[in-house]
Amino acid sequence: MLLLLGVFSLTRIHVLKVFKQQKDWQFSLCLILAMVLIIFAGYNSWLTELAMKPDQLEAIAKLEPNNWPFYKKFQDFLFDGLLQNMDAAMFSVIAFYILSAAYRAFRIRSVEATILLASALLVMLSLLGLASLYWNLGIEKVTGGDPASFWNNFRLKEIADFIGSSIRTPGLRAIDFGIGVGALAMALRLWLGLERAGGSN
Amino acid sequence: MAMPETPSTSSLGQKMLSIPRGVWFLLLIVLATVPQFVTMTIPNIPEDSSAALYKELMTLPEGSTVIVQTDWTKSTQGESRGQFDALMRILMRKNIKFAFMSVADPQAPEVARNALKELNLERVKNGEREYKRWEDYVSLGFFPGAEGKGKEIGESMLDAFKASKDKDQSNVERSVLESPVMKGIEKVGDLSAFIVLTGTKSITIALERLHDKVKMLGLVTGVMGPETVNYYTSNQLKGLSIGLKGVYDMETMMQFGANHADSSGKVIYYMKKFTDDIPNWEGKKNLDRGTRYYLTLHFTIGLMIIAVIIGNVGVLLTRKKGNA
Repeated sequence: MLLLLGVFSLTRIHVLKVFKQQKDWQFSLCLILAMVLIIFAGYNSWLTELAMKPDQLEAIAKLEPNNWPFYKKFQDFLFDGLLQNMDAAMFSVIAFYILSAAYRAFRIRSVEATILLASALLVMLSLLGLASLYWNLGIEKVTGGDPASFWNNFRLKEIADFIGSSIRTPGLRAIDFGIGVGALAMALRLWLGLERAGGSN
Repeated sequence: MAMPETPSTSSLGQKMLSIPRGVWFLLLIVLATVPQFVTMTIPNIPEDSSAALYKELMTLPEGSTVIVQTDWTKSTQGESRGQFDALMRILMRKNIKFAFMSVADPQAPEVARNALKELNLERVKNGEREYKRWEDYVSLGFFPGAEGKGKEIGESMLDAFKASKDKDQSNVERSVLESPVMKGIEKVGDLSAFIVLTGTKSITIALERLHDKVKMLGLVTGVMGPETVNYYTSNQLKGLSIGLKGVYDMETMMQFGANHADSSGKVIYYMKKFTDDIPNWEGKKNLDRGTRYYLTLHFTIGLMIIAVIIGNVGVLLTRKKGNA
């Protein structure tokens, strides 16, 4: 039911936009066409397979993608060929933004920023097996292989674990707890009719 | 006509701050793609949470049933696909039946089914038994309301999935509750585990409703790691794999075991968290995507660290010159 409501709402908004030729109506047309095509491909594939006998289905399942029947190729092209790859491409663009931000924006401007930067670098390094290996070799040189040495606390994994369990986790718990209490307070205000902003008055 | 050469006035600091964006992007493309052609086992210290997950998976009773809540698509496949493959390989090798469901993305069930097909082909190629839909696994479907479905699952499995259908061996759609996978599963506690593989908050929604009713295990993306690890440290999650490092941890433990001596008597991974001898999967395909991408992770994180250092040293040098 929710899905139908979503499809109806989306169609209504974008069909109107196309008919009225509002700004960027071409994108709306693309959206409607893509939605119709993928709905058609999905139902076509489902209904075709529903009408098939089990041995036919089994034979199709064993086929190489090149020899697939048209309905299967069509659905695969839309879902795996286009939708899934565009999804992956869109998310991979984030890597470029992160790198650009790391170069241009991640600056040591204050004591807090320096602590943040140092913690981030240590945690990032701890994710890298090679970095941990060489760091720990350095520590072993200092400790001389003594497992009881104080300096063992400075192994990369120990530092990252300390940052994670003693700083990050309590911080996140505090934030989560704060959000929970805030949500409860807001819910109470709504139930008691104290929160009128955004209402229908 | 040649122009007379003017001496460069930009300082080293300014030069460091004016590296074109295109250069960084080109470096990123090269460093992210080239290492993928090299497969090498990099020395590793598995995270405690990954080791706990491996132990829990390896000690699941053979032939039991688990639910895999698979909430990943191609957007997080770099991490999630590796996690899915490692998880499925372990479940299939231990003959554990599984039912998969999704709550976060309508694409997720199809993505999981496709990945499963590839893993099944790999099994058949390696002379292993094909995992059969309906007999060995079923698809419970996509449920848009994660909160409501989680609550329903916690109350009664029979009610939660009474409307879910999947195709049986003769291609007839039947209630999943009639399948051998769901036989005898009436409440969530009858499952040997509830496993969530996600790049979203769906794991916390499931945890809030089910953690005290069934053993819960998680495999999440690096982004979701910090907030999910809370639930591991509080013991609500019994094991957790985080991001690409988590995939590599899983794959290398599948290769070498945990606290497990190989044929020469050498133990590769000593675990701090437990002393049990958890074996490896000798002679099987264990190292895959995690191993292939781990070197890439080294290069890309290395590049990011260099970018941060160059940016900051550049600012420092420029400020110094300005003050002088």
